[in-house]
Parts: sequence; structure tokens; C-alpha cells
Amino acid sequence: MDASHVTGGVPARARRAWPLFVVAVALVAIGIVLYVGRGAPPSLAEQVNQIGQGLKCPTCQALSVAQSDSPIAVSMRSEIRQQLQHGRSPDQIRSWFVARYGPQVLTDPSSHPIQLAFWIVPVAVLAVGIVAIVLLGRRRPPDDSRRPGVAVSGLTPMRLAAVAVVLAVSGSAVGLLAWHRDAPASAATSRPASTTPSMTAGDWVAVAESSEHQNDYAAAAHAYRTALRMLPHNSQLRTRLAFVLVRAGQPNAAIKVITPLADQAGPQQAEAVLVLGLAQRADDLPAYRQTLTRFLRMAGDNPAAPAVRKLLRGGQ
Amino acid sequence: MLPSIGRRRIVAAAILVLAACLSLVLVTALRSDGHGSSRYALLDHRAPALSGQSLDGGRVDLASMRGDVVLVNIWASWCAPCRQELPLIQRTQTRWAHAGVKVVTINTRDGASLARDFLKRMNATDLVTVNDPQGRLAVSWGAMGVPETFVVDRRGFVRARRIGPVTTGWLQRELSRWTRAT
Repeated sequence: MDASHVTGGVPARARRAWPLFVVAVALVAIGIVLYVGRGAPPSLAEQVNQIGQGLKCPTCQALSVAQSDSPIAVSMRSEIRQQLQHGRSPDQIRSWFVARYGPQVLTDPSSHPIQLAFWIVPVAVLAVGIVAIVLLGRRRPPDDSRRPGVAVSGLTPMRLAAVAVVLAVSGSAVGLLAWHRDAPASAATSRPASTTPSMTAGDWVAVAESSEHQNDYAAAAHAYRTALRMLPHNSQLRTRLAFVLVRAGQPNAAIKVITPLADQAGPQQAEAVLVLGLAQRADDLPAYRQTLTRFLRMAGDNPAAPAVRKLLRGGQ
Repeated sequence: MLPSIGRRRIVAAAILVLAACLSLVLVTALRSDGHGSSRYALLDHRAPALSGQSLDGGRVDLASMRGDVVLVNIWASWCAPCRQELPLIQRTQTRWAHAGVKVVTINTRDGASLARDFLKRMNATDLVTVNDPQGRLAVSWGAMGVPETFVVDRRGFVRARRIGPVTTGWLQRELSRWTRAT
């Protein structure tokens, strides 16, 4: 029996298999590490945010749907949430928005297949041309002294260049036609009015009030905050914002908004102190009793006073 | 001096580079991606669904209006230009009814009671209005904001879109065109 294939008692076939075995173990180990370390699946809110970051707000400059507070962006986030809850994938959701707003709604338009064509066509033409020139040079017969620059196939560099120009222009034309899909004459889109992009503070207050009517306090907070940015010294707006922040379950944010007003003497101070007290109570801060007592001293005949007294007596 | 073969190669390469750059510029320049001037993606496509409960409790379904030209207007009570435009939308409903034009409005991101009060103040309670509290219906139409108006032809295809308040001229032009079309 020929024992040359055995070394140190280990068969040669087994020795050859060792590297494969090591690689297989390493791959399995990497797979386990990746699987365990992938973290918890993203929440619905995180998924909405992620998809929203990939969509441009149609009426905002340089803001994504995830970043914008405009009514249309808020509505788009609602739509994303609804579609995710119905089991649609992020790609399906993006395609849905592209069908309605065009590929330009994507913040990364190169992710859309048709967009890639616009970049590939000129580059491909250039690459083909360069390869052809190089190949032509290689194919040139050694004795080309009588017919310089003429390849075996009869294609001169100048003819090749002319063909490349035609290909580039026609390729771009095909791409543009595919993009527009119809003759421009039938398009009836007018110039946009400056409606939503130039909403006034009053418009945003109306949005906020409408949202409050719908018990959408988060949206109301967004709208009041936007209005307050336009009118930063408006005490009523500040008070309303703090109040809806409490209703929206953000008492800490409400306290930050209302505290400067509660410490400032003025016609709005009593209401500000009331909202501060409610925010402190919602945030489980013991100081709320002192704050609400202070409110009662300032405005004992306020319509909210009886409810506040009951609160302090422990009735609620 | 370069041999003629080398010169021709250089010229050919230069023309190729120029062609690639020109096509790149052509594609980039002619492709419109500004949201102000971009083409409406649903133009000449079948209109999105528009069905739901109206503000007066009835049922509205655009699909049941085939055979009529339908003016679809999106508005909100908090939108100042919408408030100015609404009387014109209401007059359009009256003036064009004989020509087979129907008007459906979408009240978007609004409280239903606020919208009803608003229509009452404007004496426009006869307008058929679908409630769209979350604004998802407006988004399904590819709306950019409010007000926004669409013309749907007799076969159910979107043929025109206006961003911002409509004008008498625009209404006249589009409704004349699409009421004459079969």
C-alpha cells in the first residue's frame, strides 16, 4: 500500500480540506456575530422617519419629508405610516410616491432605475469609443505605411468618432423621451402660486387650531412652533404652544417654552403660570402645587380656578 | 510633429470626450427637477381614487362620475387663498353644470366642524366635499399644497392641474377643452 499520501497519520485529502474547513467555520462565526449584533428591528416611527428622509418635501427647499413641518409633509408621513401598517415594503412605498410626484421626489434620485440611464449612456459611449480606438490600434497591420490610419475593418478613427457622436446624442434623446413620456404641448401645469411656501403666522395658527379640533396635538404643536418662530414675542402663541405640548405628552418641552413667560409680569402671566403648573403636574414635579397656588392668587376669578382648586384638593 | 495616425487618434478621442460631455449637459439641462416647474406625474393618467364620506354625511365616488368632466379642488379652511377662491369654485359648479361638469372638493387636514362652519359662512354648503382629515387623499393625488385643482375628463383621466388659486381664464380654457373632447 502506498503510504506517500499520508503524513503524520493525517490523510492527504483531509489536509487539503483543512483550509476549506477553516473558511467555513469563519463564515459561520461571522454570520452568527452579524445576526446577533444586528440589533432590534426598527420601530414603526423609525421606519417612517427612514423612508421620510428619502423623500423630498414637495413645497420646502432642501428639506426632507422627515424634517419638514409643512402640512403636506405631515400628510406624507401619515401615508407612509399607513402603508407600512398595511405591510408594504419601503421600495413599494417609494414607488408609490414616485408615481404621484415623479422621480424628483426622491432625495437620492440615482436610486431610481431610470435616473441611472442618464448617467450610464454618456459614460458607456465614451468607454466603447475608447476600447474601439485601442482595438483599432492593435489591429493595424504592421505594413500600414501605404494606408496609414485605416483599420482592417475600414473604420477610421474619424468615422468611429462620428458614430460615437450620433450614438451619444440619440441615446440621450431616447432617455429624455422616456423621461417625459409625452409631448410637452399637452402639459397643463401652471406656474405655482406662492401659497404654501409663504404661509403666514396666521395661516399656521389656523393649521394649529384645526389640528387641535382633530385632537392631533403633535401636529398642533408643530404649527404653533412654526408660528412662534415668525412671531417670537407673541405671548398668546407661546402659551398655546405650551398647552398643546402638555396635551401631546411633552410636559418637559412645555415647561421650557412657558417658564420665561411665567416669570415675566404681564397680561399673559396668569395663564402662563397655569400652564406651567399643569405641565409640572404632568411631569410629576412636586412644584406644581406651589405654581397652581400662585395662579389662584393671581387670578382667583379665572374660569379655570374652580377646576384648579379641585385639583389641589386632590379631587382629580 | 505628430504622425497623422496619432493626430487622428487624438482628434477622435477628443470628439468622443466632447460628445460624452455634451450628452451629459443635454440630459442634465433639459431634465426638469425643480418642484416649481416639474411636470405633474399623474397628468394624462387615470385619476386616483376619490371616494369617501362627504361633509354632509353622504357618499362620494369619482368612479361613478364617468361621462362627466369633473373639477377636483383641494382646500382647507386655514388656507387664505382657498377662502378667496371658493366663491369662484362654487360659481363654476353652477355655470358649467349644463355642460356636464361636476365639482368635487377635498377638504384636507381640517376639522370637519371647522370646514362645515366655513362653508356655511361662504354660502357654499351645496359643494360636494370629501373629508380628508389626515391629508392622505391630497397626497394620493400628488398635491403640492393648497389650493390645488385638477380637471378629470369624461373617461376618468387627469388632464390638467393648477397649483394655487384658479382663475376664470384657466377654468374657461380647460373646461371648454375637455367638455368638447369625447
